[in-house]
Amino acid sequence: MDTFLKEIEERKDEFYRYVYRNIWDTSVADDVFSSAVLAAYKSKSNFKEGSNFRAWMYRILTNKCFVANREISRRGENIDDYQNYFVDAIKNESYKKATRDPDEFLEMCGDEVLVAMKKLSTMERSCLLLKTMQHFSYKEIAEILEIPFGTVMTHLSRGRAKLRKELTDYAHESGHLKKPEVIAFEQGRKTV
Amino acid sequence: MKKVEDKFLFAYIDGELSVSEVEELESQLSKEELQQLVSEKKIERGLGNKLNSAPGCSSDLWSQISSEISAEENLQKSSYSKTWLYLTFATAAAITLFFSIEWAKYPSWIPQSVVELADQSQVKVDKALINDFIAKHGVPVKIADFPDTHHGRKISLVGAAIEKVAGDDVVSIYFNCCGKPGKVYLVPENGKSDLFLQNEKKKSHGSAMKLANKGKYTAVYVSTHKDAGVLSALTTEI
Repeated sequence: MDTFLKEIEERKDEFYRYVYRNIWDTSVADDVFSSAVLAAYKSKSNFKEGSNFRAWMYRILTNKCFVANREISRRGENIDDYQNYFVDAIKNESYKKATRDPDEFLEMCGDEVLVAMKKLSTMERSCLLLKTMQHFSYKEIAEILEIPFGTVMTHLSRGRAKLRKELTDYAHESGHLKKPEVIAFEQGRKTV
Repeated sequence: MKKVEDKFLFAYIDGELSVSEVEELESQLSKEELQQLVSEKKIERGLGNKLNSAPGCSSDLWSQISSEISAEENLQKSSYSKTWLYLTFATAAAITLFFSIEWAKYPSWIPQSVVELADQSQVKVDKALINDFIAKHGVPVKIADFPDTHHGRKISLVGAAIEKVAGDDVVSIYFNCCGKPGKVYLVPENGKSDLFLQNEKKKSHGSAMKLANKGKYTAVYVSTHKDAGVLSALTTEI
């Protein structure tokens, strides 16, 4: 087998998982992944020897995910200055309470994490997946997604903030966590 | 948490800070703030594990992709082979066409090689014998005295023969000019063969033919050599 194809095969599970988590409709994951591998194989002459093969592959995979999600205006929003969504989100008192025990919080959220992930834009989700799942640096993510460094941080920040809000809302609605107004009401009664 | 530090807090969770930056940041945070960042790190790690629990690429899917790539490769190879085949045919056709055009450019009575002329000669090399041959056929023209090198061209006699031109028997003298074949037809002025050759010259064989008047005869110099005109001085009327 071609050495190029062998390199893809070695990481096929990792690549597939990324596609699976990135696209909205998981029933087309096989098609999106196949078309990305074929596209990579056809354009293998474009890969510069010695450069980051993994990052190059993720660029192709991400492009295919964008097409599958029909979100073609990926570069429509270039927010070069880091914006402070995430720090605001984690300063929220109700969130702080919910995450006092992170393991318990995650267990309580269960598959809701995946549902919340789907509510993010493809760009936010791609940034999060590349960082949280694949542990790429901000610089590598910027190269993969072909966006400025600051934009990566902003997408990450906003994605994480949305994710945390969704999960906290879920915790309240499902009764795992008391709603802030209930807490306030209870505190008021105690005072009286 | 101070707003100016937000970027650093974010980078701290992602492990994007250097050791010294981490130390500096941690020294500036309260215990509660630090505890929250540690929690966030845990949450991120937990999220990563959750996301990585997605299924991997099935072996069936990989086999299918591998087959598609093999098919693609074969298609490319066959396309390369076809391209080579087409190129080979095209080259062969171009070569054939080139030689056909070259061949068609000159009628068969224009000599192609000195050897061919030597084979056709009825009398060979000797000037006196050739002059006798010309005279014997009633043509009042003889070969002039010419040096071995004439106008920078090395010229020698090959022989002479009778050839059919436009149905007429015509005396033809054969020369070797710089290794290339040349011949001189001696045709009666305004005769059938003269008119025919004049017409041939007009058609496109101008560069290969020169006509010169030798009394009542026309000497028609024929050669694929560009300087066929050099041969014009080689005959003289008697």
